[in-house]
Amino acid sequence: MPAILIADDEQHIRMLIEQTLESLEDEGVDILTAQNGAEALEIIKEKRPELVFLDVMMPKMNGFDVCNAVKNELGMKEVYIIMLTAKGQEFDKEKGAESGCDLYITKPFSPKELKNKAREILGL
Amino acid sequence: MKYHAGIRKGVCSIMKSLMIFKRTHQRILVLVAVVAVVNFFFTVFSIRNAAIATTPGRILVSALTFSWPLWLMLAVFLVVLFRILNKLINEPLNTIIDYAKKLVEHDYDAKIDINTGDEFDALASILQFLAIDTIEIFERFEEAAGELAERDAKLTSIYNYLEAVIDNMADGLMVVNAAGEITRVNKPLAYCYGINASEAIGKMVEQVFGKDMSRLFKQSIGTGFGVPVASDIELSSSMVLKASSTVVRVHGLGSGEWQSRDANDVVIITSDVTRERNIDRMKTDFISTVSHELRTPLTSILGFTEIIQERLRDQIFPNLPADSKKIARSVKLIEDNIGIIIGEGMRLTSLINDVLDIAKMESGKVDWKNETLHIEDIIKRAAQTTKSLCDKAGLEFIVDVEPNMPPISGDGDRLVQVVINLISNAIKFTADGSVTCRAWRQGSEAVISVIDTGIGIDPRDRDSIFEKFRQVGDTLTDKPKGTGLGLPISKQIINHHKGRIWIEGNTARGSTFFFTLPLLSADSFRLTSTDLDTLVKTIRSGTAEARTSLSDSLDSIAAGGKTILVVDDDENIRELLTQELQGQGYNVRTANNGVEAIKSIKEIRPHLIILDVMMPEVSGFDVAAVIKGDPATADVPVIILSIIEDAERGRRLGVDRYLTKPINKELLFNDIKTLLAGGTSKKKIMVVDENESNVKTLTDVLLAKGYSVISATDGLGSIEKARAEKPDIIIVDATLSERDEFVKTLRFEKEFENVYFIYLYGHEKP
Repeated sequence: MPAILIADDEQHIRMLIEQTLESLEDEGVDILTAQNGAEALEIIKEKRPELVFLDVMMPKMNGFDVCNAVKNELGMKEVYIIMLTAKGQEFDKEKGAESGCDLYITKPFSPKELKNKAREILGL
Repeated sequence: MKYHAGIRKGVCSIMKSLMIFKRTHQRILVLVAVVAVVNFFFTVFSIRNAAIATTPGRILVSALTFSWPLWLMLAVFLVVLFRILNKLINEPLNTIIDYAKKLVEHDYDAKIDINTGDEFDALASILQFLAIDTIEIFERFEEAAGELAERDAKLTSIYNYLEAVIDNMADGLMVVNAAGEITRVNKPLAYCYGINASEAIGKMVEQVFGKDMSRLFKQSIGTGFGVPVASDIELSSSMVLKASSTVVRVHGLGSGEWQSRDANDVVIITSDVTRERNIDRMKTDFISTVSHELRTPLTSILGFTEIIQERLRDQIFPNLPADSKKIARSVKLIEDNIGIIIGEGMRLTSLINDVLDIAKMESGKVDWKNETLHIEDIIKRAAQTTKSLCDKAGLEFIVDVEPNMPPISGDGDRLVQVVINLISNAIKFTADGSVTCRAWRQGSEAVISVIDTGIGIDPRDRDSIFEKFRQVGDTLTDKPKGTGLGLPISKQIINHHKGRIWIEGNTARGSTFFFTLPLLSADSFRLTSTDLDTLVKTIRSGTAEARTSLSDSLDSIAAGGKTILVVDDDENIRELLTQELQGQGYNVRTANNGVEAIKSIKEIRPHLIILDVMMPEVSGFDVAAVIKGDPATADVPVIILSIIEDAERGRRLGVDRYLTKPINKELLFNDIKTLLAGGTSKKKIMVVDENESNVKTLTDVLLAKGYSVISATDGLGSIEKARAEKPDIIIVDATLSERDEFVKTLRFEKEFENVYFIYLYGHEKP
């Protein structure tokens, strides 16, 4: 069963993405959530989700570090990581590229676009 | 004092003369006295003679002498004369000498009393006048000395005042001479650096104030008189100084040391901008934080609204009873309201983005891309985005771009942003009519204009419209549209690209926004399609044109032999080469400088060019670069004749032969013969395209036209091949070059600086 992890310290944003992807659950996708970077990393290691939505600014471990750990240290290149940034154009592209993230999306994002992207990545 | 000594000297010499005169006079007096005594003796003798009887001796004596009364009279006369001489000469002489002595002792008030009416009287009067004059001169002297002292005091106080001003001003000040030695440092500056101002004098800038300050000083010297140069200097105490440096010229102010002071001294003024810079940083941090804090709730608001909208539309509304009018109206209202929430949410998002944008541009924190771009593409991209807006507003949308303009260099996304901004502004303020976007070439610039038929802009507002948060008109009655940051952002972007942005047109008939962008030189220009004929024409165009338009003159040249252009600034060498070459049966044209050479080449294409390197204004290397860089003349053989040994540079420029002066005639003629016999060197062209069939077609056509062709189908392979084969021209698929950064890599390599790049656009994506 394919899985998607949503990692964001903001409860409302987690809810928003969860609701956005709700319809995918009917198609057999498992939706997981994490409230901080450390928790996200644990879940990724354990459940190996296909797709991760990762907030950049999170307590305990920031998004860049989580991404770096997953992609470079654990070598889990197959995990598709989408970074969510609220810093707008200030998103540090270099840092993003270094940490190995596949895509970054600026907040506010359109739920519809997010869903379409998730479908595309999961091949649904 | 000098005058004093002068007088003393004069008086002394007068006194000396008087003394000599006095001595002479006394001798005369003595003589007179002696004569008188002798005379008296004779008198007595004659009296006795007269009394006694006569003798033979008496006869002799009486023959010698007068009678005694006469002698007596003479004696009395001599005595009287002695007395008179003494009275008339000796006494006044003594008086004058006494007076002169007093003068020598500076007793100018002493009186002299001689009323003899003779020369002594005159001399005495002269001396007395001299004394009076001297007194007067001394008085004037004293006056002048007083004045001088006063002025000196004044100058000192002015100097002290200026010193106090310089030392008590809030800003730091330093003066450095052209050699880099500090000549003055004021207290505030010394304080900032924790040094003693007087210790810095005479030392070098770098030694006392570090590298940054020294760099600023050198920059200022390099920039020259009248142009201030500024830079921020961060001190170890985390204090930030803004230092402005200007070269100051002191024109001849007076005499001595100051007369030749038009040497370039540098004045550096520093002001403490620590607070400003901190505020700047805080502002940027603040904006970034605020933007983050705003974005997060905005994400929830917009996201959930969109979800609600979708759910209502997909799940709720279809299941509502369709017959109730009330419900139908509510559904319509809810849909509209949700649409408003989303619309306003998006407006808020774009405002946040704009504020962030301008804040970043103002603080210089934007990472600008530097791509080779074509105006046509920029406008096309902007037009695609804005077309639907235009259609929605019911306006006619016209795009008119001059074809085949040279490319520009810059940040594509940002420039598209500018055009979108201008077009959407035009749409916003135009009720009906049209919006036109034009672009054309004007000299070395591309001019882009966006013309609308809208409400126009009052001439008074033309400058302020580019200020932040300014929308012209009455903002109380006219509802502002957009964030008001579009134009300031556009201005920042255009300024960064070294262009200009301005506005024309009157209020009634709409307005026209213009901006310019500098075009890159024509060494790389585009093809609009893969039209092979056009491509071949591009490679040969210049050559072909020159040949047809100048066919007459070329014919005549063909009849008389090959033409050689001799370029040298030395008349003798030109003359020598001309004679020698004409002797060999060549036609010779000459040019005495680089500019003339290029002009001459454009007029009549020579068969060969002999080029001197060291020429005024445009060097031979530059001429060679122009010749070899222009496809119309790239195949003309060039021989460089130079006293400088730099064959490597010549080779890089594509020069065919590099000979050094003195001229070896045989070698030169041999080379000319070989080069002319071999004709133009065969051009090697490399074709790079992912599409193999494209490569094949291109290769076939180019081979048929007599070019030698190599090809590659990917970026990496092409780099290797290009390095190995060194082609003259590289034809590359533009999308491939952008993606692979292949051209970027190659273009900036030294050995490829003269390779002619042609980009292929308009490939249909499979």
